[in-house]
Amino acid sequence: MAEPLLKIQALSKCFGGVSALNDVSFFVKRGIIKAIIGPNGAGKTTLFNVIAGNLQPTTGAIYFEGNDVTRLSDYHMAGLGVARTFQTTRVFHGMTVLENVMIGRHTHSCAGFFGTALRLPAMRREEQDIEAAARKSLEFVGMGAKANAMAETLPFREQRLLEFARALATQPRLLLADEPAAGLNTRETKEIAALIAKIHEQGITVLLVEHDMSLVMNISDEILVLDFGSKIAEGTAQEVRRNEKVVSVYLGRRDNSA
Amino acid sequence: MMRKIYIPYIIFALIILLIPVFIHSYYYLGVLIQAGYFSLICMGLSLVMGYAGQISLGHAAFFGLGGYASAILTGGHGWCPWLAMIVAMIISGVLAWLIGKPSLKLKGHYLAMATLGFGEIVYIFFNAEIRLTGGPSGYTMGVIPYLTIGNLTIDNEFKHYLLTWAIVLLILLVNLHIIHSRLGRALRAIHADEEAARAMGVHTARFKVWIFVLSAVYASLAGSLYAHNILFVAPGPFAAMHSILFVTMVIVGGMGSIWGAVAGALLLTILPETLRGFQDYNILIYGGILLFIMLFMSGGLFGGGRLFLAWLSHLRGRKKEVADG
Amino acid sequence: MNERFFQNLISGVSMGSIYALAALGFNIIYNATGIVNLAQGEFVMLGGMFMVLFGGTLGVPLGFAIIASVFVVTLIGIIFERTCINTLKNPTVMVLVMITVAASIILKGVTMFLAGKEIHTMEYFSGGHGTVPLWGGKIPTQTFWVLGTLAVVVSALVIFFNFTLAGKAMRACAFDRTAARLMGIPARRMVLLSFGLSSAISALAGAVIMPISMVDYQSGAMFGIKGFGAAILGGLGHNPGAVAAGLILGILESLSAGYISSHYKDALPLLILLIVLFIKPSGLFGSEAAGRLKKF
Repeated sequence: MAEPLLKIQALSKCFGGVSALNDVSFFVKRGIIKAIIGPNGAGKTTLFNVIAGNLQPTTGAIYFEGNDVTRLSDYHMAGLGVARTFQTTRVFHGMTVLENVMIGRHTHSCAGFFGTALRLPAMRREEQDIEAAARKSLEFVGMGAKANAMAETLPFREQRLLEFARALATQPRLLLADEPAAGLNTRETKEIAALIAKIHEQGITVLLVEHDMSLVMNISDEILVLDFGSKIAEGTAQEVRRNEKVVSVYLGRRDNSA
Repeated sequence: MMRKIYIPYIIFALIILLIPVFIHSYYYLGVLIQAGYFSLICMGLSLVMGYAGQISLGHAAFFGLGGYASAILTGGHGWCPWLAMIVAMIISGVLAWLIGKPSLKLKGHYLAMATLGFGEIVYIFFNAEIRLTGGPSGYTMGVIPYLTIGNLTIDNEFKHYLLTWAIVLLILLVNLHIIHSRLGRALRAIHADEEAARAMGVHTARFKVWIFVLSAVYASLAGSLYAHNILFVAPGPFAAMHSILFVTMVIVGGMGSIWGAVAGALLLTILPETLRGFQDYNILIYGGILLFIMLFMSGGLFGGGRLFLAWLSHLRGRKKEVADG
Repeated sequence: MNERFFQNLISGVSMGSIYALAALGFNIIYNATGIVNLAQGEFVMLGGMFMVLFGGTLGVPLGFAIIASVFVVTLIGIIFERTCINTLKNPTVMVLVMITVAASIILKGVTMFLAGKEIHTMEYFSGGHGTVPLWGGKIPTQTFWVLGTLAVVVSALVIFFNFTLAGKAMRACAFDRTAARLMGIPARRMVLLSFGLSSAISALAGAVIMPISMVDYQSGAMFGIKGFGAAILGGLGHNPGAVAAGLILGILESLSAGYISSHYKDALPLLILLIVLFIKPSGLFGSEAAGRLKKF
């Protein structure tokens, strides 16, 4: 088997006395869409934050493209090709849609203080490249027309699309999508699903956390189920749907220990 | 796009450089020179506050460091003033880096207090190290020389005005370039949402420190120019009150705009001079202005600027819709 | 040698008590509102100023002078809260910081306008400028007033926060404002109460230290920043920590002035403030949450 894009090994995360993640291990093969599901409080967002570099794991290891990235922080991970979108859309207020996406090109550009201060030709060329790449990204998600709008004036659904455009502009090899369907209605969820599929076609591996089962079941190649910080099932949509443990976790147990 | 930026700049530069043609009074030129120093400081502060979203209540310290370093190196040790100025900027920059690295991890009130504390310590230093600085009565251990460019000695208000504002205009251009670049976008992103900026690969901690260092260098430059103009430095102009004054200027002009910084500096330097007897009540009036702006107009004079431009482009969009039928 | 040490120690405890009281003032407001009131020091200064006015200039009997000073400054604190804090809707950090800074400037400016730039002082509360010989040193009798005030205020606060409904309500707000409001605690009134209480304590502190340290329109800055330093050192929001830290800070400052350099006397507490902020913002006794600040 080829080296998996992302390898999570015995990952644990404790906050004080509370164990949010418990010895979680899994692979993400290159080029697939993998979803992480589980009831509220299962540790999905914590897992995401640890992978993305926002949090440090207590124990365990993370390998990205074969390299140990366990202790790396979020901006470092972004530079390595891991992009993420946020559950509550976090577009940059006070900046236009285009400028938001142009930030995504930050790690692919290098103009420094002196080049910028003097506006050297190299810097100007780079600016043009940044803008072109950003516009391409906007077109990809269908937001090309709104390039000059202020990000905070966009309706919710478009802010979500903007976040995707911004993440895609970083030319990631792995996209972490945190509840991409959160706050969207049925039609909008289908649009996001189509977008994720389109992203997948570009060869980008997608790892997503999601509650919306229709989205998960329709587009995921593999599903991982978490409960109380531990992995309780992993497999294709079919396999997971039939897994007894998963069913009981979602429908409740007789003794109601949840 | 840059044309939109260069045109106002050129107009402003022309106006500034032509003023001495019409105003000959050394007094008024002196006021404008002082406004120039403050513009330099406030532009730096504006980058820190308005763009990176940090607070600094201690910037007068860097202004003072520039002034004292220039005074001591040129007056006490005969250094070439331009070299001393550069060394002063380096000293201020290094100190800003040393203070900035731990401070800029702090947020909000903690950062405000840390910078305030730092500014106070430097002020105490100016007063206490009498053998080095001359203490509360000022530096008298040597004669601070005028600046010279080749054969030209900058020794009257007219020449000081041109030199000061030439430098301010240069730095303004540099800042405009920075703002409209990947660096400027990164700064604004940090201000808007630091965690999201990091998710985009922006090394936020490093940016915050470097912009703080840059602002300290600007303030130091202003201090050196000041020393070679007045030919005297004393701790007075570098107290905490002045740090707060600079912040007030930035806020009045509108934090998110480099033009606002210059406008705020000009306004709050010129205005007091037009009100005689202002001196005694200046603390009160600055406080009142600050309070008023914070309560009612936290966008400042130019704060609405970007919103205004956004509204304009929205209008243009609407017109297009109507035209398309 | 010993006498000098003891002298410095006592004067350090004296000033330290004021830093402790100022720190308590910071904590009370912070706990109830999440705001750090950068104008806190000015209330200490005003306490001293009004005490000079009532007890000194106007010759009002001691007890009434103290009550009047505290009352007026508390009123000022309440006015400040009503006009500047209460009127804000969802203020950003910057706005909050600058509003309290603006208030401190205005209070300072008005004081300078009304009371001039001179230093004011008054004789000790128990009369004259007497000292009491103790272990080789000469202790100003006012010191006992200072220590007594600290003891009284601390005891009163302990009773207030643990045994009165209002005090417990304030602690609830400090713990979790939303939950407190859901329990029917009027959050806005708690804010008002916290500002009033905080101003009162600061005023008392200023009034009682003024005969020893004298007061002028600029005194507020140092009280404020050192009081904040004490609050941070003790862990912001942690009252016992504030008292301990205030005393520690005062003693260290006094000893450094006595043994190292009097020019840099003020710098030591500031240096400690910076070190604490840089290394352990949660202070000696505070929680990690305090280190990260509630609201931000």
